[in-house]
Amino acid sequence: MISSSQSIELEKSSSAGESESELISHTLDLFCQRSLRPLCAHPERPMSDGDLERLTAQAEQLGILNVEPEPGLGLWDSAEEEAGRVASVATLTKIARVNAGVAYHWHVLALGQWLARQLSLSAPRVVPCLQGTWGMGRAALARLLLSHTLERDEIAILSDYFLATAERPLMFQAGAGWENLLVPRFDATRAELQIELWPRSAVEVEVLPASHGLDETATHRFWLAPGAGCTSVAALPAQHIHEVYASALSLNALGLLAIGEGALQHALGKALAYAQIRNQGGLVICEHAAVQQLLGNAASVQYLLRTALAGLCRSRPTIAQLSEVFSARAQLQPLLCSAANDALQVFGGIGYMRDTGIEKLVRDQNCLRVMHGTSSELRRFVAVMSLP
Amino acid sequence: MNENLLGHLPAHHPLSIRQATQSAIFLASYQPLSMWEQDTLALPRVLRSYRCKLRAFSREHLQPRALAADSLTHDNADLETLLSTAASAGLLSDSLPGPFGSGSFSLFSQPLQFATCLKMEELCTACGGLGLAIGAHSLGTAPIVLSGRVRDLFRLLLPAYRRSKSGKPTLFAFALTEPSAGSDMEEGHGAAKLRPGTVARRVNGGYSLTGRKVFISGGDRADALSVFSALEGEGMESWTCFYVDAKSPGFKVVRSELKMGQRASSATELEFDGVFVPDRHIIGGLRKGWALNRVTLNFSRLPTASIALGIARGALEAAVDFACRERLGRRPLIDYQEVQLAVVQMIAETSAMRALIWQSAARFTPTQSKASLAKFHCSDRAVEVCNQAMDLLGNHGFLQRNRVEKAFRDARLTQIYEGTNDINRLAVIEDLQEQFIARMAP
Repeated sequence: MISSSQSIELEKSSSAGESESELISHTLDLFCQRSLRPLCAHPERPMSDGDLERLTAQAEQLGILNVEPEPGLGLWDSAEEEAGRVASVATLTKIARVNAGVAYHWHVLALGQWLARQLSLSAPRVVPCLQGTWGMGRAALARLLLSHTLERDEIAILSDYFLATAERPLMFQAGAGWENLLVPRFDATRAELQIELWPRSAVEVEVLPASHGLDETATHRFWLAPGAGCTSVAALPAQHIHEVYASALSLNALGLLAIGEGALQHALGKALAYAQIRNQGGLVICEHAAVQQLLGNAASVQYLLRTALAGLCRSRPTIAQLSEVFSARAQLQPLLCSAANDALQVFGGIGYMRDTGIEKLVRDQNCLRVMHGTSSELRRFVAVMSLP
Repeated sequence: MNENLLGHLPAHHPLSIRQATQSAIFLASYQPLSMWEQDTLALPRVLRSYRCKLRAFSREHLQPRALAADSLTHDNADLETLLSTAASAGLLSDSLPGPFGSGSFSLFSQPLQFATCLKMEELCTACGGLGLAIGAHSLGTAPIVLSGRVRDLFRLLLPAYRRSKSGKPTLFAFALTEPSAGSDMEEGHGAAKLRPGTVARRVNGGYSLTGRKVFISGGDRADALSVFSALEGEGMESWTCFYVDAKSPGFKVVRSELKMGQRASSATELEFDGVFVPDRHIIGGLRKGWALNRVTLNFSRLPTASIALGIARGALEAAVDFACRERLGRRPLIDYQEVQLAVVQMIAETSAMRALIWQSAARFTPTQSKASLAKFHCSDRAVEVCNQAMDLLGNHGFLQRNRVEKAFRDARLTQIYEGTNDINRLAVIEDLQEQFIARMAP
């Protein structure tokens, strides 16, 4: 059962003397503790769709997710300002410290809302389908965003990359309860992107079973239903669309790193606690150099990530800033996986069992690594952006 | 049909490697063979045919079952069918030559663990879990085989092998790990400080076993178990290996774990509540258990490295299938240089793992240093290969049906069982310590 959001609201209003940001942080802490954590007590049993939808409704009621047309204090609402980005990163980290799958779902919904606002489109529970069919469109996508003249091969790649048909569906990852999709479309004649709003009723969707991680979400394959005409198109110049799309890519990358940080905090906390109670060779295992190296590696990745996130939050999400945040993802996402694996290794055999919860964190980090561009693809993107 | 991949010359081009080696320089000519074929040709003749037979079995019987067997609620009846097929094919009784076991006599001109390594690689290429479901049985029988007592072989193993050869799988499990001790059971330094959890009390005509064992592969399907226990009132030096019939009163499977991967093979918690074991069911002799355990680990760690190698090869093959099947910009992904680089890196990793394993397995008596080194190195590299395969597939990489995410989950266990990798690293040092001591200043 989800505890009522009313009690959290009540405590929120009674916390006199707190600044707005402190109040938000306090509310989020209460929410994670009272509503989210009890639903995550059994990591071997993924949260049900119904529970996730109820949690999402509660997050919307509390303002963690803003459903109003105007920006508020919710996740990614003030992404153009440094304070807004810092707050969003902190929010995602806190939620992911309890459950990375829920954090990812809300990140997606909040980013969809932000993107819809930038495009002057209005729709509830929007999922932005930023990634095309495979990878990051090789070098072509970077060159498109940099307004380079595209070669014929590059146009062919982008046409293919953003195609969403029954024969070649696109994919996105999200939890239950989404209602609309924001889908980039590539106009090969003009060599420019457009972004369309597709309501759920206009798309064919296949939910694929058994994804690797982020168990609270699912992988969806989708394409426009035959004869569906009820889509909306952002009525903005192409250059503006490109800017907005790049900003969404940037915020998405920032969000993935923030979720990764929260999941790592979760894993490291578990490993540290276990290392202090498990005995081996006549010692608690935290006194063995081998275990200290594992814990130290995970802790140092956490430090690196925190430092990187603080730096990344300072820059506005723009096309130019993409190379910064993609560079960070290219380097840090594999390190996060390595750190999660180190945390699992501290547990030995019991860490491999689903009810311990640590193996889920490894799977979650793997998903965060391979979605929206792997290291190899991101490095290539960065190289293109670095070339004159 | 493409004649060449992007960035490479077609085979018929005068400047291609094929033309150079087949036409231009006769002495350097060779047939274009797959990596698997090239490796197989490097094996002694008897092992070549064994490897071919195993690959055919794996492709026919394991591969089609792999994804369903990975489900948390997989079909047990189908696993029974597979085990019966494996038993009929001789895969559950080939650690002895005929007429006792099903192994060909010539196979035993080569070290037993070499054949076991080949078997585990081929089976686990299709599925790490199904491979383990078949292979864990060999670990269960290993203390009996390695004890070298012909009487025990005849009495404990041959009846089981006979049943297996007739298509009725008769399985053994290896029961070592205890709730309070995982790694301490696998290295002497830790064991010296350990209070044993499973205890054998002397009773009339035998021993009464009491205690628990955890994470026992195939414990729920086993007909018999090799169980390690200390004698009552004594320490780890008294460890003794007991043959326990799974129908014995007092034996119970308490639970089966929900694992991250290798799900076709169970990891069970077993309870021994005054299980009677007659004196004649002591394997290898009283107080010989610790030695048998250590020797068994020396023989099982190379096959564990091969499990890792097989899983990594499965991931590589799935990644290559994907790269040849999927297209972007009207070209198959394998045309693109970054994809070619990723594929070749995985080929290099698996080739290096195989070379290390085969070199070590070619000795009749494996050393702890070589076995442990191969185990930790190959399992670490296997996980890395699976990561590379997931990366190659990108956002398709986390779908189970594309097989690489399953390979990662399966491979991850190889870094943990048969001694965690750090325990195996230290086992190398233990085995080599005299050399380090000799180099110290007096």
